[in-house]
Amino acid sequence: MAGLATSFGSGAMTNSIEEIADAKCILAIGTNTTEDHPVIALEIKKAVDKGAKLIVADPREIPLCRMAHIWLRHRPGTDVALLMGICRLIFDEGLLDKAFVEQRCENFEEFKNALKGFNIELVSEITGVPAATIAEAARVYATNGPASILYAMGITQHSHGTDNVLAVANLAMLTGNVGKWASGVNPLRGQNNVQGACDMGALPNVFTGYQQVAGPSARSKFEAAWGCTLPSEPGLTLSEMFHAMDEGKIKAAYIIGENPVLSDPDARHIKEALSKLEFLVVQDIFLTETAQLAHVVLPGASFAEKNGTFTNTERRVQRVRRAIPPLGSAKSDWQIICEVARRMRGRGFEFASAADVMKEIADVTPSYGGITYARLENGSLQWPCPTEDHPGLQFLHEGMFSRGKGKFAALEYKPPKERPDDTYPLVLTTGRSLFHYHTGTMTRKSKGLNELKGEEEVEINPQDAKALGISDGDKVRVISRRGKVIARAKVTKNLMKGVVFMTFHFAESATNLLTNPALDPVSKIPELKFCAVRVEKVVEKVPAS
Amino acid sequence: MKEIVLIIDSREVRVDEGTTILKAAEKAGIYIPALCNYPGLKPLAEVQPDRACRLCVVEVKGVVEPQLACITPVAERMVVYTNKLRLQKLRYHSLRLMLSRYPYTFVKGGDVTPYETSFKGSNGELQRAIDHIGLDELPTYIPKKLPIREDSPFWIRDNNYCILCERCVRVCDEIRGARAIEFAYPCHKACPAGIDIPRYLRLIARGRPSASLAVIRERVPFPGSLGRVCVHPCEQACQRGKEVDKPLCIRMMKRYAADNSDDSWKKRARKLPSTGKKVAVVGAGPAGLTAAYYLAKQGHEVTVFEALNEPGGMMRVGIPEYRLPRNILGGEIEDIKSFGVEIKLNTKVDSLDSLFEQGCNAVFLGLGSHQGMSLGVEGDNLPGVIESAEFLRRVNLGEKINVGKEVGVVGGGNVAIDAARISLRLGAKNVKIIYRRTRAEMPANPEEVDAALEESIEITYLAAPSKVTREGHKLKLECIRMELGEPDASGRRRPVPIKGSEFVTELDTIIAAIGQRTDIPTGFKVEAGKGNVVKTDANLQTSRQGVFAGGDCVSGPSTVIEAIAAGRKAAEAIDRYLGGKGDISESLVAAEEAIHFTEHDPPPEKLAVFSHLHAKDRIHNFDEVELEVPKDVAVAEAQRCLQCNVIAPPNRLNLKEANCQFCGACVDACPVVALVERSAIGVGAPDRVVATICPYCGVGCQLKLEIKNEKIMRVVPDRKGAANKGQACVKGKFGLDFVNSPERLKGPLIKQKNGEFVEVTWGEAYDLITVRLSGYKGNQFAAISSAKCTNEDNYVFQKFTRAVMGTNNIDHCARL
Repeated sequence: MAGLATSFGSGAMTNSIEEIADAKCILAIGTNTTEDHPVIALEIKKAVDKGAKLIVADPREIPLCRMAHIWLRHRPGTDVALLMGICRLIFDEGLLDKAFVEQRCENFEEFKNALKGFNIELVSEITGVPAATIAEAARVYATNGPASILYAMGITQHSHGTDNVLAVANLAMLTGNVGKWASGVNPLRGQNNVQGACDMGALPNVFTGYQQVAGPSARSKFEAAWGCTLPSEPGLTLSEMFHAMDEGKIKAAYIIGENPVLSDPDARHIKEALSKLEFLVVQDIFLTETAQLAHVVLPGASFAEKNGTFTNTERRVQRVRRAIPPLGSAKSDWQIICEVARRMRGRGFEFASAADVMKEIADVTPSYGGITYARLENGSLQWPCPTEDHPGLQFLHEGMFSRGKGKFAALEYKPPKERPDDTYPLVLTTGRSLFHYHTGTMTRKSKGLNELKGEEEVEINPQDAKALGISDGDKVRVISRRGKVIARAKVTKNLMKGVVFMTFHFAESATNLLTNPALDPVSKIPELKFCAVRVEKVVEKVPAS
Repeated sequence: MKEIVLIIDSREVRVDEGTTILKAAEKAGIYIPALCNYPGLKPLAEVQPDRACRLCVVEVKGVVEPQLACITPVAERMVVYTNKLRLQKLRYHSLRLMLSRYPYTFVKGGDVTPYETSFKGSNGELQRAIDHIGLDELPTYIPKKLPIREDSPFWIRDNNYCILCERCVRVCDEIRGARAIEFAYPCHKACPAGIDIPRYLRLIARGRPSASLAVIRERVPFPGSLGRVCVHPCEQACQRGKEVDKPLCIRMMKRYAADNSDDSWKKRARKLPSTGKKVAVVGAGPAGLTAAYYLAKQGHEVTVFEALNEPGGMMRVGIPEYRLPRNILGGEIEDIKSFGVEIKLNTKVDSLDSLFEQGCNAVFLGLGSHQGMSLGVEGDNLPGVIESAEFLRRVNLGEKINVGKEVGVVGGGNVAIDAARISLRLGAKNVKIIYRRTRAEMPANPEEVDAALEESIEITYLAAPSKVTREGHKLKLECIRMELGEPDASGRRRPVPIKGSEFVTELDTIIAAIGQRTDIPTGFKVEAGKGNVVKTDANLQTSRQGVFAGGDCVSGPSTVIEAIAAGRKAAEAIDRYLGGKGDISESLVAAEEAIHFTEHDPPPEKLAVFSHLHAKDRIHNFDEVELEVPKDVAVAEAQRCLQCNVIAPPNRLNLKEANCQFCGACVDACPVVALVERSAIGVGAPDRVVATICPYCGVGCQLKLEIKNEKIMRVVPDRKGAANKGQACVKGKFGLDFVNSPERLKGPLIKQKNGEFVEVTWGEAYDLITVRLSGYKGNQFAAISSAKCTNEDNYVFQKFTRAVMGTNNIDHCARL
């Protein structure tokens, strides 16, 4: 998000989901759309059926490759090199949109200089993709507008994730593929309300609608609205929080609806940090691995038991409605927090309903200014929607970027933080399965889904498997510098040699015991997509008969 | 986009140009029943006109014929009537046809199965159509007894309730791209040439043999011959035979259609203009003539070279006349010639080079397997011992062979039976078949075996020849008794000789019917495979550029229908090779003439009886044994067809193996109860339906939750959903049962000193939190929020963190 905000001034999907079907070229990079955003994959299919060119860039042979015209199988962690290499070729062959670059963008000279470091032979060597394939992809993307780039965590969850996003933005700007119908840069959000959580200021540096906490005008506006004084320095990011807990600087925490013990890298460290807290409140619908570490656990209402709104990946604010009463004595999260706040003499927590809360959100958030429950009854609204008569915006940056001019970034290729070596010779990359979700808190409770996929599988290339004496279905131990887990091997050509793949849905094979907490310096997102491991066959003891 | 104004049922409707009448009516809130129509799918009336439901007929002012609303675009000032009496009658008729084989109780009430009580929520469309059209009575329901498919953890498929709208199949392909299921009749699937059997049976049942023949003719040029000699794998697959009583006599139905039709199929037959390309076909058997026929129709110039003096291959020189009269086969070959195929008889080809030199662009080899195999025992070359292929060829070409009184035939295939029955007709008194296994393993068609037995032919099972000697005028065939041992590579139990069990039979003629091989002239320069067959790739192309092959010479001795199927396949491949699209498909019957289902009185319970000549009247001549099929017999037999469509994954896979994504889009698309969520079976109608948003990924699919007894009984993706347009994935559709999980937290918990949680009141929990958190205000506190919670939850939480706890230490786990 930090990356796109830097380039364009806004971190959200520039276009709407339905526009994908109208693109003439789609570059899907770092997104296993078919499994992780299946409904968006349907739009890609529509586009391809209508004749669009599909370019897939992914180290794994993901299902999307089957309908792709070009598959760029680049090595994990080499996205910047790949994207800058594509930019270089577009520039060299004069396929750029000169007018767009001149009129709508800035910092082009610096970018142009940076391109010098990315001649196609070098890029081919770094990425492992043949030069001719990179060149073909560059030409197809540059000459088939409107073109849309889709990406997900395969781009962001790297120690240079912000650079990856900037590289994506560079490519779109270079060819004038932003600010038009079906033409733009589209990060696909992994969770139902990531967009909303960010929009609502559940971030250490901004209030709602990305108003800076360090900015005096925004702060005084919120101080006036809330009737209190507010701290001016930005807070700690998630990963920094765990360090601060470990160091004893943070002594109490309140966690709602998250399970960092499984979802965050280097799980052992997270668990240790949380265990050091003097007081931990966890509010959730299940007694998760994280909740088990709490001093107090509060039962939240599930999505089906509460009213509210979610904001989806295309900035669409949609109504969540209570379908059944809360189980037991569970309550909506906002109601519980308001009660705690009131008891702690907080002012302004007397909301009668979720609609009431939205009223206040609209009052203090320009991009949500025109959103009311009454309007949402007649259909969803896409922000920015500043006033009650504003219809909302389907795509962003038309005529002008949110930040004024689009900013090119002069990038250099930085390899991942942890490199394979003799002890840990393989690269572990992580992702999701179609049949499960995130840490499995919800999907592991579903009988049918567990019938279809009931345990973790380590995907491994046949050559690697053979060298390690591993057959399909064998139990294997995956070991990194931080921990080890046991899972079943799935031998598949979908993986390139030297790379293994795991999901993080299964507590009993907690993949994030292995992953690297190295952070992107800007977004502070950890490098979940790349760490060095070794894999061993588990020799099961045969019980003496 | 231009706006169009039209009048539907005297109401003014405004829609975009290009909209169909059906969509315009829907927009105006005017209901037109339409069961094969579904959002996001191309209209079935456009892609498969003969399978459309035809319920959406409307009248357009100024147009005589009723129009299908699903494919007719609106026009300015168009006047549409949706409910005229004529339309009501048409719809009533179509609906009755559709439901003539439908489970009765579903429509009529009464004893119902749990599936029938499964409310279909937002898509209970069949009931709505029935209510709208009105249906007073239905023919008796004959249960098809199709097996219920349970290969999904989330739903069941009961094809007995299917109305053939194909929406599930089309959604799986067109919208989801998964192609995990397909539409097929078991018999249709079983036919190597892909003849649409249920369709031609329907036409026979409705007294339309000529139209029926045209349907058969869409796939094969030898309907009359097949009607007599086909080994009918379709009948083995017939659902009626498996579950109800006896399979339909499909082969006899084909014969009836072929014998009782005019030439009307020719009216729509394709004959494309000349391409200027020349094709040589070597061998005028079923494979070669079929390939020649379709290639000629594609506009290529085709010459067939035949070594013998009669065309037809094994149909002519292998199959005896009493099974396939010469005039039937001859007539069908004349039809092939009438499409421009030239047949050169008595022309043996030894080298393909010469064909290419003569300007041929491609060659098809349909050589057959005409070389007999000898017994392989001592004395097998004595006079009076003959190989079946040669024997049949000589007899069938008119030679009167004197076989004497006693004839022995060694072998158990159809050729052995033919040789035996011919021997009788040549004057033999006693004919014995010697077979080394038992009747159960015999490869010959059971009905052929029965016919032979009727003709007093003796079969000695479990015996094999060991020696032939000649004493005077008689041959002495020494055989040894066998017993069955372990199964061999073919899966049949291997015969093992019993030591010392030899016995001797005196015979005049011994016919070896133990197999045939292909003779591939070396001048062809094509690679041969195991068993001396011509080696080809999946496209039937041989090792030599431009040379294709098919039929027995590729597969080894097989059946007529397999040879025809190979001829079709080769024609497609050769057409592509010559620059065409390889599309040889034809529609010889107007779509509207082959409507969905037959409407008629209850099908007869009695099985059809087909007449044939009595054994004593047939064994002294070559007259056709099977007699003509009278119309009433044919119609009654065709009416027995259950029209048992089956929708299932291809190739007998289960859903998971067939790459099913378990999204449930098929279930949502089903307008009846053929597909029902397990969670909804027997539950009845929901108490309420609530529209909300999926809690999984960032797409934000709009879902309708159907609630029964405060539980989610079914989830239906909202067709009006801005982001998802009626679609969802397996998690959104079937993965919301966590909501009612017994593991849900139901009250606040406080951890005790011993580490155990104890449930407390909210007051106790609040008190503890208030007291403890008050001690950590400022940066000693951190809040971790959630991308799963609502905007309102997140807003309040960050406000609490900043305004009450006095810190900006708030973040969540899923930033991008």
